[in-house]
Amino acid sequence: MIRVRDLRIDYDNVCAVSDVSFEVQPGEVCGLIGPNGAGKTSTMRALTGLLEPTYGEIEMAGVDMREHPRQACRSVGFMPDAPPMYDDLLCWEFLDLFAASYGLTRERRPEVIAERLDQVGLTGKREAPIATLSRGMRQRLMLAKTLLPDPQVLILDEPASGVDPQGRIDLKNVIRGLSASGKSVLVSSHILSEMTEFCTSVAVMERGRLVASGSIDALRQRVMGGLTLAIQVVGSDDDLMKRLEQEPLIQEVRLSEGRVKARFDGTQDDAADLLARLVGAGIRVRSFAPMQEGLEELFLKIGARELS
Amino acid sequence: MRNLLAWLDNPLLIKHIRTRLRRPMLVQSIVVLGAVTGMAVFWDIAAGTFPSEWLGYSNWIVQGVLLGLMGTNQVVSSVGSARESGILDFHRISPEEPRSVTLGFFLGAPIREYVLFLLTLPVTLLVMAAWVQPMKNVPLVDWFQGLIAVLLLSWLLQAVGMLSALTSAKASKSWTGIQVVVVIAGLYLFGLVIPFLSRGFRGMDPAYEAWDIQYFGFEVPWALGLALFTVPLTFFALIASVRKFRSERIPALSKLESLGFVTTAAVSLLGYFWGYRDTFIPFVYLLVLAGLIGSLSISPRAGEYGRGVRRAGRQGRRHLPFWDDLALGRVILGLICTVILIAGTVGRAFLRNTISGVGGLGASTLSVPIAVLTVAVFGLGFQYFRLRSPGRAGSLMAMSIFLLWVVPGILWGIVEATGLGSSYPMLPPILAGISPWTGLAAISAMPSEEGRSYAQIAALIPALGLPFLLNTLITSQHRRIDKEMRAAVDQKSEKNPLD
Repeated sequence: MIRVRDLRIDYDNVCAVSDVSFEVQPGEVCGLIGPNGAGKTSTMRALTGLLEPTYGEIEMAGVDMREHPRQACRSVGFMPDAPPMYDDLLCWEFLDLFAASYGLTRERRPEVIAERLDQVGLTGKREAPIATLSRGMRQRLMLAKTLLPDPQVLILDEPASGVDPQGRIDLKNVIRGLSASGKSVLVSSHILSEMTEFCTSVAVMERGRLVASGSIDALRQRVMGGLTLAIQVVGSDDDLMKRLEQEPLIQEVRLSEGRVKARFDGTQDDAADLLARLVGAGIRVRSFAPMQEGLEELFLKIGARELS
Repeated sequence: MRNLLAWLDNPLLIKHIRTRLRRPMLVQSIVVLGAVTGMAVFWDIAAGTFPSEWLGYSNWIVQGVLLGLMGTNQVVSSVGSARESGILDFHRISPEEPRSVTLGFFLGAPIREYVLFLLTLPVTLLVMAAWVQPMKNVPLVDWFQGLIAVLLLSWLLQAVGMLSALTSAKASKSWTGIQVVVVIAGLYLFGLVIPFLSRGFRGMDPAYEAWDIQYFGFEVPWALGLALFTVPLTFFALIASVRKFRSERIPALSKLESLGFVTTAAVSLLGYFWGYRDTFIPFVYLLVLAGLIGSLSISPRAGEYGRGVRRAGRQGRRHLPFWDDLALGRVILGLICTVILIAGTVGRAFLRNTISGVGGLGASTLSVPIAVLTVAVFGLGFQYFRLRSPGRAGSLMAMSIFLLWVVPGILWGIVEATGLGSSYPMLPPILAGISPWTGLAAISAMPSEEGRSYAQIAALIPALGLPFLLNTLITSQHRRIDKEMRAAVDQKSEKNPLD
C-alpha cells in the first residue's frame, strides 16, 4: 500500500506541496488529479524516492521511504510522462538492462521479458530498435519495464498519453488486472473520463494541497450531493415535472437534452420507490436512470469551490 | 572468478557493449584505425627507418587520442544524454547500486575505444621488440610506463568528464565550458608526459632531467609519479560521481570527503613541490585553489538545511552532526582551513621563496594566514548566499568575488600602467594587497619594506573582517530557518489530517 502523511516539499523558498496525506490500499487504483502546477509530479517524485521531502512520512508496501529508500524502491514501479529510453537498444535489450538492474538472474530474464512484452502487446516488436517505435509503443514498452520486477506499488504518470485506442483498452485491462492482483496503483492523468473507468478512488490536488480524497462514490456523494436522475417519458414532460416537484427527495428539476433531469437526495432503493410511484400515477416512463457524474464534473466542482 | 563474472554482469556495461560494439560501427572504426596505423608503418618502412622514433610517438599519440579524448567524449556524452533525457532517474530508483552504475558508464561508454586501443598494441609490441636491440639503447621500461601513463591520464580525464557531466548546471550531452577546461587540462597532462617519453627515446638525455617526478624529495619512476598524483584525483572524481548517480540533489562530495580531498591535495602538493626551489608562492596558490574546491561541497541550500533541521527534530536533536550533508558547513570549513594552515606552515618551512629577488622565508610570513582566511571568506560567503538566496548563490558569489577580489587587482594594474603609483606610492601595495589573488604574492614581492607593510595591512583587514561579518550573517540566516521550520512543525502537531 501507499501511505503518505503530512507531506511537504520545498524547492528552496517555494513550497510545492504542503500538508498532503492520503492512502492507497492494496487492490485500489487511485487517480491523482489536478491542474498543471498542482504538485502532482513533485508528489510522485517524492513517492519514488527521487525527491526528498522537507518533511512528511511516506510508506511504500510497508517500508518507510525515508529510513530505507532502496528497500522501498524495490517494491515500486514508476512510469513517468514521456518516458525516456535508450534509443540505441532493441526492445528486449532495454528490458534486459532493467531486469538485470532489478536483480533478476540471467536465466530468468528471457522468460520474464517475454511475459511482459506479451502483457503490453509488444511481442512482435521484441527485436525492434527502440528508435523505430511510435510514441504509443514506447509507452507500452515503458509499462513493460515498469512491471518487470512485479512491484507491489505502481506509480503511473500520464500512462495513456500518446497511446492509440487499442492501446488504451489494453492499458485499462492491465491496470484492472494489477488492481485485481492486489497491487496499489496511483495514476495521474489529464484524461479524466478514462480514469473513471479504472480508478476506485481519487486524490484531487490544487496549488500544492490536497483538496479532496477518497473513493469516487463517497466523493460524488459528498461533493455533488446525491444522484441526478435522467427520466424520459412518452408524451409531455410537464406532468412529469409537476409530479417530481411534489416529491420530498427531489431538489431541483430541469429539462435538458430532451430529458428531465432531477437532483435526488435518496438512495438507490428510494429511486426504485420513486419510479414505482411515477408509474402508479399513470406517467408512461420510457427510461429512468441515475446519471453518474464523471471525474470531470467532480474535478470542476472541487476545483471551482477551491478557487472561489 | 565467480565475483569477477558477477562484476562483469554489470547491466550498464553490457548495455554499452551491446550498443557500442555493434558490428557495422565497430568494423568502420577498425578500418579507419587500420588505415591510419598501416600508413604510418608503411611510411616508416618506405623511409627505411622502421621502427623509428616517429612511429613510436604516433602510435602512442593515437592511443592517447583514443582513450583520452574520444573515450572521455563518450563518457561525457553518454552520461550527459542519460541525464538530459531523464533515464538516469530510472537507474537511481532501481535497486542497482550507484557504484555499479558509475562503473557501468565509466568502463562501458568508451568500450569501443578500449577495443581499438587493444588493436594498437601489436604496433607498440613491434616497436618494443625492435627497440630492445642494444644499438637503440632505449630503456624498454619506458614503453610500459607510456602505456600506464595513457591509461592513468585517460581514466583521470574520463572520471573528471563524467563528474562534470553530472554536475553541470544544465543537463546536456554537449560539451560545456567546464568540459573544455577538462580537455585543456588533459592536453596539458599529455604534454607533460611526452617529454618523459622523449627522454626515453633519446636515451636518458640530460636535457630532460628537469622532468623527473619527485615525491617528498624522492625521485620516482615517472609512471609511478603520475599515479601518485592522478590516482587520488581519479578516486575523488569517481566517488563524487557515485554520489551524483545516487541523487541529483546531493553535493558531489560529503563533508568528510571534502576534507579528505583537501588533505590529499595538500599532501600531494607538498610531495610535488618538496624537491623544488622558489615554489612556495605557487604552492600556496594551489593550496588555496584546493581549499576553494573543497569548500564548494559543504554548503547546504536553504531548503536542504531546513530538511536537516526537520530530520534532527525527528531524531530528538537540535541540529544534525556537523558531517551530515544537510548540516551547516562551518565546522568542516574550519577543519579545511586547519589543513591549509598546517600544510602551508610545513611548506613555508621547507620550500624557499625568492619572488622578485626580494622575498625569502621571512617576507612571506603572512602568506599562509591570508591563504587560510581567503578560503574561510570564500567558504563562509558561499554558505551565506546558499542560505540567503539559493537560486542565485552562484551569481551572487561570482559578483562578490569580482568586486572584492578581481576589481582591486585590475585597479592595481591600471595604477601601475598609468604611473599613478609614483604620485601615490601607497596606492599600488594597498590595491594589490586587498585581492588575495594578487595579495598572496604582493605581500612578499613589493620592492620596499613600506610597500610590503601597506600590502600586508590591506590584505589582512578584509581577510580578518569578512569572516566575522559572514559568520554573523550565516547565524542570522540559520536562526531564521530554524524558527520557520519549528513553527511549521508546531502548527502541524496541532492539526493532524489523518486523526
